[in-house]
Amino acid sequence: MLDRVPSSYFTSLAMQQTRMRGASLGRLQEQLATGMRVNRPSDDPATMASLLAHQSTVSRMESEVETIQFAKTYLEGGVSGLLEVEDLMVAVKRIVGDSKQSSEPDVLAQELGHIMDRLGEVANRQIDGRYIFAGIATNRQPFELNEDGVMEYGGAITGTHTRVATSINVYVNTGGQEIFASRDRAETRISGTTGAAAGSGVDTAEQWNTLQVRHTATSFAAGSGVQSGSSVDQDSIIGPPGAHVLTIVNNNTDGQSGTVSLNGGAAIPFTSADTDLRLSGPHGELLHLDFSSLTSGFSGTVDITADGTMSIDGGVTEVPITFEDNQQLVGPDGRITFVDSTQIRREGDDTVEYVGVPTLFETLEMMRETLANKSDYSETEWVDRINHLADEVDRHADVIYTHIGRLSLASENLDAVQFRHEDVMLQTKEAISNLASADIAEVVLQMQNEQNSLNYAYASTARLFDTSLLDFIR
Amino acid sequence: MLQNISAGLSAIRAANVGLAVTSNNIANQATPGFVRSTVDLATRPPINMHGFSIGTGVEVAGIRRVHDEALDAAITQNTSESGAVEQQLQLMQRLENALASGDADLSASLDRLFNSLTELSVQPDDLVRRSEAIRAFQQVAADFNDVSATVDSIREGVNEQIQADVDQINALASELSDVTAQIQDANNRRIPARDLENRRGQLLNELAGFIEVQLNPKDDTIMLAGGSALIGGRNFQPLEAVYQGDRTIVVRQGEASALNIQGGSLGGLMAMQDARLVDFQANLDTLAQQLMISFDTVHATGLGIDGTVTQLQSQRTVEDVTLPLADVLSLPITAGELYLSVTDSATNETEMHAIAIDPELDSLEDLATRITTDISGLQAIANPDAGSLTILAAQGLSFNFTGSPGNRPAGVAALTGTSEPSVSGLPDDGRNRNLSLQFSDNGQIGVTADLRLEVRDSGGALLEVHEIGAGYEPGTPIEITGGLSVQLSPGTVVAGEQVQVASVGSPDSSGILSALGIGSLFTGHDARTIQVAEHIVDNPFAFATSLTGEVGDTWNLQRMLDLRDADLLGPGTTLNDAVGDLVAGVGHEVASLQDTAEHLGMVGDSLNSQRDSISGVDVNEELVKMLQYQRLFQTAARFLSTVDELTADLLNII
Repeated sequence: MLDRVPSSYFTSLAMQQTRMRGASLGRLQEQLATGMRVNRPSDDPATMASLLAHQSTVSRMESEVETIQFAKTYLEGGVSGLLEVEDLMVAVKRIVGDSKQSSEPDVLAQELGHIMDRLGEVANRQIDGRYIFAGIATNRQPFELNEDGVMEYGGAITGTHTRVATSINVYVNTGGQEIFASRDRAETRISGTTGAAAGSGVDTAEQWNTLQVRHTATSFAAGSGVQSGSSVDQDSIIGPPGAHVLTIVNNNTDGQSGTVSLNGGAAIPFTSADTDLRLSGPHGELLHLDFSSLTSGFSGTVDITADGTMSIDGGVTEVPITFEDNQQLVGPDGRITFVDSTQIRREGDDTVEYVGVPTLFETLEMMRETLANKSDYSETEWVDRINHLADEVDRHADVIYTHIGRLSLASENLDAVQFRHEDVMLQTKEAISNLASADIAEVVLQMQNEQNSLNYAYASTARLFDTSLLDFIR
Repeated sequence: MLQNISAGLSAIRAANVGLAVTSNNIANQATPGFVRSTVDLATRPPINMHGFSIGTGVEVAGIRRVHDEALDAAITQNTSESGAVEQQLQLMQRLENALASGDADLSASLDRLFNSLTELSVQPDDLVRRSEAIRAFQQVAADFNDVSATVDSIREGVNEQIQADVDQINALASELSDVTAQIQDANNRRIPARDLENRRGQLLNELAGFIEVQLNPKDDTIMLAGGSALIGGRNFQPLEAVYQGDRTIVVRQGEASALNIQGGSLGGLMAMQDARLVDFQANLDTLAQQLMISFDTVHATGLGIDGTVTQLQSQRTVEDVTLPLADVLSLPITAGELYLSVTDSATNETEMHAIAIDPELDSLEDLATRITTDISGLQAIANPDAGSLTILAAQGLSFNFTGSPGNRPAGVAALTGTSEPSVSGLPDDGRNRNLSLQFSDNGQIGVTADLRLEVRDSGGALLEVHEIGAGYEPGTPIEITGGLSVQLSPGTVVAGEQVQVASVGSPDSSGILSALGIGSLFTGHDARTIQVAEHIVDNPFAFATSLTGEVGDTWNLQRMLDLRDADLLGPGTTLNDAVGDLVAGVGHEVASLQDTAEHLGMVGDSLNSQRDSISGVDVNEELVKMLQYQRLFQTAARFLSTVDELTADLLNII
């Protein structure tokens, strides 16, 4: 407390109070006008740092929500397309079912052709001018007919991915290869009559091939005097020594005639005058025999050795059959097929199908061709082939379902992220409000207090100035 | 009788003096810094009369300025400190406005930038979104430029204000020197110099608002805070503001070294110039540089979607192409390797080459020579006039810095088997690895039992083994360490033969691409000069969002988005965190200055109140004194009248 209070003290005190209260009122007025308690960093630096972080969070999430909505457009476009494919798969299966009773497979083949066209349209579908099944090559039509008339994938393997939250990446599109040209190579299927089977090696050949098994030479175990007939080139038996057995029963009348049978099949008579006797085995295998040098009175079995070759490129490359379990054949495209030749017993053309390898388009094309050329197959072969292709269609349908599920799940996950973002945004905005918003009632009260204080300061100053000795000096 | 007249007369004289002092006090009651005076009255020496000691009246012993020197010094000190703080506060508030509430809202701009990249990642080939992203980059650059321009503007203002303050200080000091001389003259002549002292006090306080000064009343010197005399007796040593370099001003006296100016507005200005603005600009530059380095490094090692690169020129230049790079580059560079992938567009085959860089030894010229010599099909030219580096690909070739190994591993040509390994994919981390792939036995891919591919690191350590014989489908990708995949075509392999694969997660471990601005997104080297490269603004498709060049490839964009949460500016400090720190830091400084200013204001108010209680004019008090002197005069006059009547009576007796 001052001992001496000059009148200038009152003046300066009044001015000080005016200044302080004015500044305070100014701050309060700003808070009322903006509704914000923190209008600049210096108002509350620590809060401002938090505010910036919160505002950044809100801004980021708003952007990510917008991105999610765009991403969902593409994902849902993908799902929509694949659901159409799913319907097409159902239609294909119906055609497969119908084909077994149909007398007009050409009509079914034509219908399948339309399905393939629609499938091609879906596979090349665009959203906003971007191919949705082209992976990151969104500007390139993913599926185009190659020179062989087969749909070939020209898009990218991986899809475009976006980030909708820290460390959450979402692929907004997919490479069409893994959807329409998926592979899940299983054991190669060789169907036919030669006895060839799939080798133990992993093939690289694709689509399907014809395995040509050809007889090249026949020889007989020594002792019987039986030789190959002049039409040996028409023999169809193939097998290692002992795989085929000739059974000769001499009638012992002259030692030069009797009956002969192959592999336990029907016996036919022979004489030593037969130089080109055609003999069939129980499985249709053929053998031509020359009995002119028959050992007189020979009866018994004769082991036959029948050599042959295999080719998978239409006979361009013929590989001698070694009767091993993993013989390698090179196809016309340089791709490899492994054949188990241990059980090859006759020549013929087998169909080699590479299971789990054909694309959906190739599968449908094979099915269409099979339907259109039904007459080229035996009923058994045809049914077998249709069933196999139906299995391939099922495999592709499973892939389609998987991708529908994956894309739907991704879309659902995005929904979940969006909901979470919206919750967090709400909470963060609330936090921003709590941190920075002015409590209007409190500000109004503070303003009233400040105004009162200022009024008191003015009133007391005026009152003090009223009291002066001048009033008493006459 | 005469002594009675004399005593009465002395009373009248004293009353006159008292009234004069009072009138002066009343007249100056509103004069700032005025120190009231008071009259000290004393009894005159007595005389001996009739054996008695009789008083002879009153005399004015002196007229005293009523003040407290310690309090005056404290007020001067407070004035000086307030001046410094208020000056800094005013300037920092300008900076605060520029940073947070003006057009340049860096935090929001950075958010918009990353948001635009997130939105671009859904439609990376969309021109509108690409343009938006580029505009967001431009906005960030513009914000840095704007804040820097504000700092420059403040700095220029500070420099001008320093000059003005120095002029003002010199003017005040000159006047103060004159007043001090007059006081000394008056003191020498024993003439009271109260008004001069008042004037000196006023000038001193005014001066203290500009610079911290201290009056030594014993020798009338006025000292600066650093210890040198501004005014020594009658001598005045003027201050001089001179530029030291382009932007910094120092204050000195004559040819002496720069003064350590503290206090007052000049002290505040010097503190702004030497510390606050420098620190702020340094932090801003660090932020801008880190932004540029981070984005440029990612951008340079990606690809736009407008085709392959056949020519690149550095955006950042060096002063001398023959000096070591570390000495001439403004952005950081370390010893490391730069991987260049060269693609033959006819065969689509890519070969990758590593160029070792030692910035302490290698000049730009050395780098150019090495690229030209070591990489067939590329020519690098160091332009000594422009200080730039240009890399050109030969006809039919293109190049990039993506670290893409191409699909043909090194050493394939030397294999004697018929199977040919190929490579695909991208590294899954930021590491660079040189891997060797060795065949365990003679055999056939996909056929031979127990045929294996052994993956070894550059030191020969076995990392992993993969079956490539029976059970392996030739052509199937085998994922190896680092994220790449190897495919083996059908055919034979020979035991012990090997190929080499470089898995490059960090194609530029030296930082040369960002330092030189090769394929960079930004140009410039600090917050003042940062800009988005013109060719990218002109062609948004050149913005390198991909690693493959495919339109939907967002791998490089994701690497840019990774920067949002990356600790680029220290542990736990992202770009946004750093901007927040910068803004909050300025806020803290302003708030702290506001608190200090408020505190000093309150201390100043208190000191001034104390001063007023001692030195201030109280009108009522002066009126009382006036009445007192009036009564003194009146009674003395009446006394003299009485003495006069008595004297007349005596004379009438004669």
